[in-house]
Amino acid sequence: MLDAIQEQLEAIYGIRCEYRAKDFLVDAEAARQLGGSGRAREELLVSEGHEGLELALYVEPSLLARVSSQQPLEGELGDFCEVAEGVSHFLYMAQTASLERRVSLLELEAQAEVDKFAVCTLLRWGLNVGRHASSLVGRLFDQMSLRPNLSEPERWRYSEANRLAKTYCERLLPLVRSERLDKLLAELRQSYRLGAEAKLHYFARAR
Amino acid sequence: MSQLVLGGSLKEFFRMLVGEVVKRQRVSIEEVTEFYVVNLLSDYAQAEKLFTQEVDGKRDSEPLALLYHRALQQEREEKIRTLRRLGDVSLYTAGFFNGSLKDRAVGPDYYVQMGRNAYSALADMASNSSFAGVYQELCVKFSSLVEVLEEISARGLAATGPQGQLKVFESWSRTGNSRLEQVLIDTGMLPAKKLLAN
Repeated sequence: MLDAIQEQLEAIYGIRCEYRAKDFLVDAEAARQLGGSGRAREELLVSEGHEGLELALYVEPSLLARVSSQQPLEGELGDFCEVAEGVSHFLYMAQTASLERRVSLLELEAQAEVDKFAVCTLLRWGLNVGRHASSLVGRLFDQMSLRPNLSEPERWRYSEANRLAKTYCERLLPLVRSERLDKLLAELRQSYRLGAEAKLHYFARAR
Repeated sequence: MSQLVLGGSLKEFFRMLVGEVVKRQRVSIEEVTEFYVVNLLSDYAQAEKLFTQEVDGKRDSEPLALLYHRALQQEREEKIRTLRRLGDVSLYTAGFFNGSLKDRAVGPDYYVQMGRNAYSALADMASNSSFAGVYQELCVKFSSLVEVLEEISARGLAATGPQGQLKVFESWSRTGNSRLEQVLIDTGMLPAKKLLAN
């Protein structure tokens, strides 16, 4: 499933990453030893070693087991998005590292929110996709709830990433409603390649 | 209110104005916090302090998200400076441009949330200094201070003449804000409310 989601993201953004998220999957014990917080059901663990960036991805096994289909049903969307977020973090981190660019947590979180919207929208392309995408914006951004065990700085960062991604995804809705897949992909690919400040500035624009 | 304030007396002018409005609105704040707000108003009276970038030939302020993003990347001293600007810009904008924010993609609530978070983070970072209490009070009483600044802005606008008074009137018509109503009553734009005897 991790590979299927990574392939979807790579297809959307027109990229190919030589590293596969599934090969970097670690269990809870390894995640803990690598400095994982143990508070989240998915977590990307990053450390900067002598030979470059070291990545590991933890996804709770029961969560991964529940997400067995690439076409999640309505009730499975939350779990699917959580796994997609982990893959999104991995892919974005690997991509920016290959460009020798530093990535900020706010940028990483905001991009992951957009990635979830893009993947879930394209899974339903052609079948009342406009209505689906509008409802997706509500579910992903308005009905989201933050884990209660987050610190204040974490809550602030997640809320701001959510707001930025919502502003951007709302701007994508007309392209989805008019079913302009070419324009939607061009738009997503362009914003994906922007650097941190330029990307956040671009997401923050109202129109 | 004087329509022309000379640079040297600007701080004194705002000190008097903030004192009056704080008293009228019965906002209880420490003297040092009041002094912080006075300094903020004096600084931002110079437009270039608030508007930092040019967009399509017009001056514009930097999005709060970018200030916040920059603060996340910075070391302590720079981070304190950026968070302070984030808090100050949020407070000033929410107070002075509250009416126009209602028509924007991000409304006044967003500025309140960002400003509170910035001052709260500053209070944590400065926990061993005398500024911690000021930042804490700015965080906790952010909404009250926005209302203080909103009234100062409306009184300033109304004092510029009929055009400014009309702007305050339009804002009041749209929002029904009782503080704006009082400003209009004080400037003679609206009749004073009288208790009618039976």
